[in-house]
Amino acid sequence: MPSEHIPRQDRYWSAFDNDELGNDDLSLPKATVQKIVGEILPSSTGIAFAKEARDLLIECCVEFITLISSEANEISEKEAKKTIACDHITKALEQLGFADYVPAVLEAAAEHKEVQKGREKKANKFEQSGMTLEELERLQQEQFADAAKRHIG
Amino acid sequence: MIDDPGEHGRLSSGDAGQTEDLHVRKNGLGAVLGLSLIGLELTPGRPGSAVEPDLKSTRGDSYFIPDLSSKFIHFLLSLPTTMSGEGTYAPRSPDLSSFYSSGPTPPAEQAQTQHWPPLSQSQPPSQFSPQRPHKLPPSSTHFSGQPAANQSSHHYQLHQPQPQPQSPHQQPQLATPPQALAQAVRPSKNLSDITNQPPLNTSFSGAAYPPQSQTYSTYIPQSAAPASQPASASSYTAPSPQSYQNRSWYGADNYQYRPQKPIHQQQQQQTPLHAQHYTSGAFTTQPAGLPHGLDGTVSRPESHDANHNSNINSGNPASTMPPKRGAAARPPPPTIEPSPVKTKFPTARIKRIMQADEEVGKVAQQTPIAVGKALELFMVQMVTKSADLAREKNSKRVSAQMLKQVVEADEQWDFLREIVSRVETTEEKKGGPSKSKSAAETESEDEAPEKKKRAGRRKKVA
Repeated sequence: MPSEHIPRQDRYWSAFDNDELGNDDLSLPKATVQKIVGEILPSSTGIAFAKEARDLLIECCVEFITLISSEANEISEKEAKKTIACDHITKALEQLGFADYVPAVLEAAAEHKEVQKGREKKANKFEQSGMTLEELERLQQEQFADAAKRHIG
Repeated sequence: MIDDPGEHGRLSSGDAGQTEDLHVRKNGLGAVLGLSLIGLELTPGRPGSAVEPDLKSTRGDSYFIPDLSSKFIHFLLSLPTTMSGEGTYAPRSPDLSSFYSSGPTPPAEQAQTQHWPPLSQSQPPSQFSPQRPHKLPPSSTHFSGQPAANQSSHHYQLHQPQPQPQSPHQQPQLATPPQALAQAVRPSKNLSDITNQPPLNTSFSGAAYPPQSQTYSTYIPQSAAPASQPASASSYTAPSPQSYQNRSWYGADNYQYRPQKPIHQQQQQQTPLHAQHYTSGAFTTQPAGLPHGLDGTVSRPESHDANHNSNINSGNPASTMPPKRGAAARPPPPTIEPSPVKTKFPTARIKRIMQADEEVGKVAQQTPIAVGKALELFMVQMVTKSADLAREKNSKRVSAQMLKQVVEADEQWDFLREIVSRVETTEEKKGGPSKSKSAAETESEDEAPEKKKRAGRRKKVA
């Protein structure tokens, strides 16, 4: 391992030793959580978040996810669905007293859908070019011809 | 047109000619080449080769010829469409401008009339549709090469009857218009032109004016808003980034400002002329030079303010400028995300946490994102509440205890109580002897296997 990585690793494992980190796969990345906390509480507010508080917060977050997903799972099972879909999440949120989260959640999901669509579109360059296969071939020929001219001088 | 490399590439690569000749050359050259090539094609033709990216063929082999010929045939076929498309760029091309300068000649009108339909889309049709025919003459002056000068002089003469409010604007008009008009031809000439060519302008204005005034008298109610704007537009509006916004506001502004018309009626009548001026210019130039169109549209909101400002303090135009721009910038409602959090949780991690529950099976692609968003809101709520608590306690640090307090204060968080209480005990452990030994024991049992795991990993990592 490169030396520059060691400090980070040390930090990570010391956090591990101080426990509360749990299984890292089933926890949230501390740096990310710290960053988000910083975004919620910018330094201008003058309030910092203690390390223990952050760790506790992470645990709460994991618990929150677990709660929502198990509730959503129940709902999906009731609907005889094998996959937990977005509206199962929103229903779970409503049932668990987080109805006020729903609009933002729906918005985020819709946004993601849009992005996904955009990616698909981008991927299909041919359709985007608006040219027929013939036209594209012609264009290619022209470009080859140009390149050849340039090459010959 | 000229700038389009594709056209040139097809015609003859790297040939930078002027647009005047371009059409002719296209037709002539294309026709000649096309014919000759067709003839050639008949003899050797290997049609299948047309598609193949063969370097050989490009060097003038017999195979190459069919390709070229087909190319040019296509090119010829495509010519009519391309030419009509070029018509939209008319203002940029020198030859077309010469047409305009000669006056409202049939060709020029045709070219412009082509553009009207799109124009009406961008502008409130009710206002301008009747005026369009009149726009042509001014626009023609526009393109003759001293566009800015003409406009500004226009203003001058037109506004003389009401010198008071607009006199402040005139000066800025003279000084600033060149910069505002982004087109390369205009800027340098404007100042000198203005001074030198008053007669020309007068003739234009006179010709254009009478018909317009008639139409306008009927329109006064509608055109009230834009009334004084054109003048100010020429003077102030730099083709700023606002341009797009301005267009959209265009209609709205009219509505807002209508009540103020009665005061400026005379100006209004005159202004429509200018407005036409601008819009027509904007129109023809729209595809090529946005700034122009911007001027026309931008002018409206700003000019209004300008009038007011001038009435209030008919002195320094410079001082009035910034507020106008500010006013123009105001309208767009800022759509800001309410959430301060920009960082997103890794969806893969969320999914894994969700599926750590054995009962949870498949998860849709969107689901972790939805959960992530909910989690974000959850965090915002927790953090802000605990921060409020810290503030109440005059603490600059949010401690785990505060978080616990927040959780316990709200029933919504009851599912977290267990976790919170557990953490509390571990902290007690650290601070001193633990109260509940059983809890400590269970924890130590839990931790034992984890520590083993860690040790193994560490070795690997190191």
